[in-house]
Amino acid sequence: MPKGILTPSGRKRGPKPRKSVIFQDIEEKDLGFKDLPDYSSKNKIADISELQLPSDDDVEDEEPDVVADVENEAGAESDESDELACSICNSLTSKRGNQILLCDRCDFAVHQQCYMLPKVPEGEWLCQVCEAKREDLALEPVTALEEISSKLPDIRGFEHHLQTMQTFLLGRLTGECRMPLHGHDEEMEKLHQVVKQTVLAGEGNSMLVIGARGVGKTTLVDAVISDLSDHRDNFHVVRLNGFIHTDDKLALKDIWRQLGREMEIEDDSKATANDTLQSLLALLSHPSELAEIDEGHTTKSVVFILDEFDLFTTHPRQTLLYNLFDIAQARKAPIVVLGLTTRVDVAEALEKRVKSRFSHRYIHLSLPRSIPAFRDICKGSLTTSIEDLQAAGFDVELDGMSEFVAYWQTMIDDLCKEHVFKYHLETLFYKTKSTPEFLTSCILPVANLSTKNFPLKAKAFVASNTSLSAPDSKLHILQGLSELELALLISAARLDIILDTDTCNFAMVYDEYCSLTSRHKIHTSSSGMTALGAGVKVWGRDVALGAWERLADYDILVPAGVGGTSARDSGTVGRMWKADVALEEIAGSVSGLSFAMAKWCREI
Amino acid sequence: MLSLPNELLLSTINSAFPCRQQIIRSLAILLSLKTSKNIVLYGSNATGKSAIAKAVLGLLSKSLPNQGTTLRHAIIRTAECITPRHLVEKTVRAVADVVGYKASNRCESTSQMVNELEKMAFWMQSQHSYPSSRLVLAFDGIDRQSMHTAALPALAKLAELIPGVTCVFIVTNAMNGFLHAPGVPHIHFPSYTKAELQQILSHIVPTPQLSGGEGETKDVWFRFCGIVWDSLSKHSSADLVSMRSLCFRLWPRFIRPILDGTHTAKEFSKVMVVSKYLFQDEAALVPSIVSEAKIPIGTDVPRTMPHGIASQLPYYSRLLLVAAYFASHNKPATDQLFFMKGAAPKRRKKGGGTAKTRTSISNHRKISRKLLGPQAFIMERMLAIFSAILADADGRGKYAKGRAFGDVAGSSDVQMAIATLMSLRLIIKTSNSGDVLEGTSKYRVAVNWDVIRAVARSVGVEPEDYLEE
Repeated sequence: MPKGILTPSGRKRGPKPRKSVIFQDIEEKDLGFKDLPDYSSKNKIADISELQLPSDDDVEDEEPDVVADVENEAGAESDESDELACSICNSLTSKRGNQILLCDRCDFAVHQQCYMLPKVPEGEWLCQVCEAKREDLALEPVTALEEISSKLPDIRGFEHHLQTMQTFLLGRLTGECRMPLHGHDEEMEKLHQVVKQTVLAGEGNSMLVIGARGVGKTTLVDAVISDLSDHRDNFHVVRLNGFIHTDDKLALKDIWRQLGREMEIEDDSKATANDTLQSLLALLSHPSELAEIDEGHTTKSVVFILDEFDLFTTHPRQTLLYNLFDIAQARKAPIVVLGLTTRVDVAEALEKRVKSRFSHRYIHLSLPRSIPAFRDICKGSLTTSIEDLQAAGFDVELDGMSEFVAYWQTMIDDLCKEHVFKYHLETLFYKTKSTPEFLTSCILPVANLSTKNFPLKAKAFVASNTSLSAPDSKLHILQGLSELELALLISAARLDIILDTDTCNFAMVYDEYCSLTSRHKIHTSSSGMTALGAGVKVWGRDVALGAWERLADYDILVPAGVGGTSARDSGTVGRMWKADVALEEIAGSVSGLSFAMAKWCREI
Repeated sequence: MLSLPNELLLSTINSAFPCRQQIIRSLAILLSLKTSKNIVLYGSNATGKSAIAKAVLGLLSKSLPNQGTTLRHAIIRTAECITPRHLVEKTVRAVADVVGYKASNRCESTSQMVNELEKMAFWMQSQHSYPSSRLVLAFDGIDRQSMHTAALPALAKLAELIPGVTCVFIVTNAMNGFLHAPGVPHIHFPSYTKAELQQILSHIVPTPQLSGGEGETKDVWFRFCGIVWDSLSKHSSADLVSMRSLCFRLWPRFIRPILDGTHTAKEFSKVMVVSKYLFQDEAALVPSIVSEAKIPIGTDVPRTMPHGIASQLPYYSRLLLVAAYFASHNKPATDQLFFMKGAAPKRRKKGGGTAKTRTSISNHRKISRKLLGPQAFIMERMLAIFSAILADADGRGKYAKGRAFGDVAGSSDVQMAIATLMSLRLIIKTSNSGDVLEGTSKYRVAVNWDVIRAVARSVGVEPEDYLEE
C-alpha cells in the first residue's frame, strides 16, 4: 500500500506525546559520582523553598532551606523531596531533628547528623566547602589580638611539641625527608633482592623501575639502600641524572668523581673521554680479576642509579649504557644498574646490542588506584609515630610527647572525617592522583598552626587564595588582559571557526575585529542604547598591533610552524599565528566580560 | 626549630607592595622553611613577581641570622643570558659572589655547575658558625628564552641534589609540568584590578605639583588615574607599568589648564572636559621615539612630501620595488588584465575549455587576498611587471629617453638594483635553493601599503590602478 499524507502512520505515534508528558514529571537522576555534591537540582529546590517559606513564617522553624518532614507534606512535594538524598549516607529520609539541609550556594544536601550539626542553623547556611571559599580565612595573619585557642588539649609542653611536629612534617611535605612507601611491598622486595645479590654475592644485575612522576621511584631505591646500610662499607652508590648529565662524557666524568678518584681533567678532547672510560673500565674490571686469583678477597660493588633513564638512551651510540650493561652481564665486576624512568616503552629505545645485555627485569610502580588507597597514603603522610620522630633526631623523652603524638593522631583522624577534606582529596585524586600535589597543598595549613590557631581545619585546605597548586592551563592569563587584547583574541578564535583554518595573521584578525566592533556600534546606536564602554571604539592599527604583540608574548598566540625563515623576516605582523585558546573557553575564564564580547563568543 | 617570618617585618614589605599581603605571606613562609626546594611564582607582566621576590629575599637574609640560620640569595636575570652556557656561568658567578668563594671561571655544563654549587654550599656551611646555612637561587624570567627551557628540569633538580638550596622560578606562564617535577608549590600573582591600580598609583606624588600643595595634587591625581584607566588603560594595556607611564605622560598636559589659572583644582569635571581630547587620542598609547610634545595638539599634521625610502632610493629601484609589490599582491592569473597592452592580440585557448569542476561549496567565508599578506612571486614575473609599468612611469630615469625596454630589464644595473633591494631587506628571498638572481627563485615584498603608495607616487605610478582590490 503506497504511503500518502493521510495514511494512518501518524496515528501510531499518537500515544507518544502522552508518554512524554509523564516523563516530564519523573526527574532525571544522575547516577554517576554519587559522592560528589549534586549540582543538578538547582531549580527544583528553589521551588521548594519558595513554596515553604510563606507557610513556615510564624512557625518556630525559620530556616529557609530545610526540606520539611515528608509525612507532613502533601503528595506533590513528597515526590520531589525524594530526590534529596543526603550526600554522606545516601539516605532519603528527612525527619525532625535530623533534617536534610541544603547549602544556599551549591545545593549540597546533607543530613543534620551526618554533618554533625546539633541544630538547624538560622538564616543563610553554607556547606563547609562554600564557607571556606567565601571566607578565605585560612591564612589570616596571626595577630596579637587573637585569643589563644580554647581547644588546646592539656598536654605539658604543648607549644614545643607542636613545633617539633611541624618541623618534622614540613620536612616531609617539602620532600626533604622521604615518607614511608605504602602498598609497594612486593616491588620493594624484588628490588631489595636484586641489590642484595650484588652487594653480598657479587652478582652483576640490571633493572628498570618504571612509574609516573611522584609515585616514589627514588624513594623506593633510597629505602632499599638504607635497608642495606649494614653493608654500607661494601658498596658505592653512583647517582646520575639524565637531565644533568646530558652526554656520556659528562656522565663518565661524574662517575669518576663520585667514585672518589680525583683526576686532572684536561681540555675537552675525545681522547680524554676515552681515557676516562678506559680507566673506569679497568677500575671496574680489576677487582673481579683479583677475586678470581685471590678467593678470599671481597670486592666493593657499585650501585649505579640512572635517573631519567630514557634520556640516556638518546646519547650517541648509547656507549655508557652499553658498557655498564656489559660489565653487569659479563660479571666483570659486581655492579647493579638501576634505571628510573617514566616511560613504559623505554626498552624499545635501546639499541640491539645494548638491549641484549640488559637483564629485562622491570618493576612497575603504579599510582594509587582507588580513593581509599589514596586517602590512606595522604593520611599516613600527615601522621607519624614516636619512633619516626626519634629516627629523625628529635628528643622524644620530653614530658607529654607521647600524649601529643596520640592527640595529633586523633586530630588527623577527625580531619579525615570532615567532608571538606574528603572533597579536597577527591578533587586531587580525580585530577592527578599525585601524592606530592597533596603534600604541597598541606604546607601552608601545617606551617600556619600555632597555639593561637590550633586544630588543623579542613577549611584551610580549600581556601582559594592560598592554593599552591599549579595552574591547569593558560587561561589564568586571560583575566589580566585588556579589553582590546581580549577582543583581538576573540576575533582570532572566531576566525578559527569561520574560516576553517587554525592559522591567522594580524591583518585578518584586525579586519574581523573592526567589522565586529563597527557592527556592534551600529547595533547599539540603532537600538538607541547609549554607546558606552567596551567594544565601541575601534582602536587604531598601531595600538592593536601592540596588543597583538603582547598576546604573542604571553604565548596565547603560538606561531604556526610554516616557514621558519620567512617568519623571522616578517616579524609579528606578517607571521601566521594560531590562537591557543578556543572561543568557548574565553567567556568562561574571564569574569566581568562585557555583554558585547560575551555575545561575540557565543554567536558566529 | 620552625621559625616563621615575623609579622612586623613583613608589614614593611606589605606597605611597599599594596594589595599583596596574602602572597607575600605565603612566599615568606615557603622561603623561611629550610626544607623548601622549588618554588614557582607566576603571573602576567607587571604584577610584582620579581620585585616582591627580591624584597622578601632581602628581608629574610637580614632577619634570619637572628634565628640561627644564614640565608644567602642570588637573583639571576636569565633574559640577559644568551646561551645555555652563559646561564650556567652566570649562575656560578652570582653564587660565588654572594657566598664569597673563589670559583673557577670556567663552567661549561649543567653537571659542572652542580659540582661547583655543591662545593660552594659545603664551603659556606663550613664558613659560618650558624647551625645551618641556606642558599636561594632565583631565576627571573626563565621562560622568556626558549633555549633555557631545556635547562629547567636540571635546575629543578638542583635543590634535590644539593642540601640547603632552594630554587625560585619566576615565570609568566607556568605550563603544567614544565619543571618535570611533581608537587612544586606555585604562587599565583593575579593581575591588579582597577581599584588596586588606583590605590597603588595614589602612593605616587606626580610632578609637576599643583599650587595647592601635595594634598590637592594627590586628590586630583587619584581621580585623574581613574579616568585614565576608564578611557585608555582598560582597553589598551591593563598592567601597572604601562598605566603608570601613561599617567605620567598625560599628567602635565592634563593639569595645564589648572596651572595656567583658567580653572581651579576644584573644578575637576571642567578640567576634564577641556582636556577631553587627551583621553580620546590614542597617540599616547603608541610608543614612539620622537617626543609627542612637539606636535601641536588638535591640529592635523600635513603629510609632508615623500620621505624615507621614497626619496632615498634611485629611480629604478623604486620602480622595481613597486613592481615587486604588485607581483606579491596580485594573482598571477590577473596579470593579463592589469599589465598587458590593449593592443596585444588575445590568445585563444587551445583544445577547447573543459567545464571547471566546482570545488565543494564551503560554508566558510572567503579570506580576502589582501589580508593574507604578500605572497611569493618568481623573479621573471616581477621583471615582466616592471617592464609593463615602466611604460606608465613618468620616465625620469636616465635610461628612459629614447631607449627601448630591452636595454633596461636584465641589464646588470637592474640586477644590481634588485640585489640592493634584497640586501636592504625590502625584498625577501623565500626559496632556499638557486642563485640569488636566477629567474625562477622566489621572492616576497616586505614593505607595506603606506610605504609603497608613497614610493609609487614618487615615480608617477598610480598603484590603485594595478591592484586587484
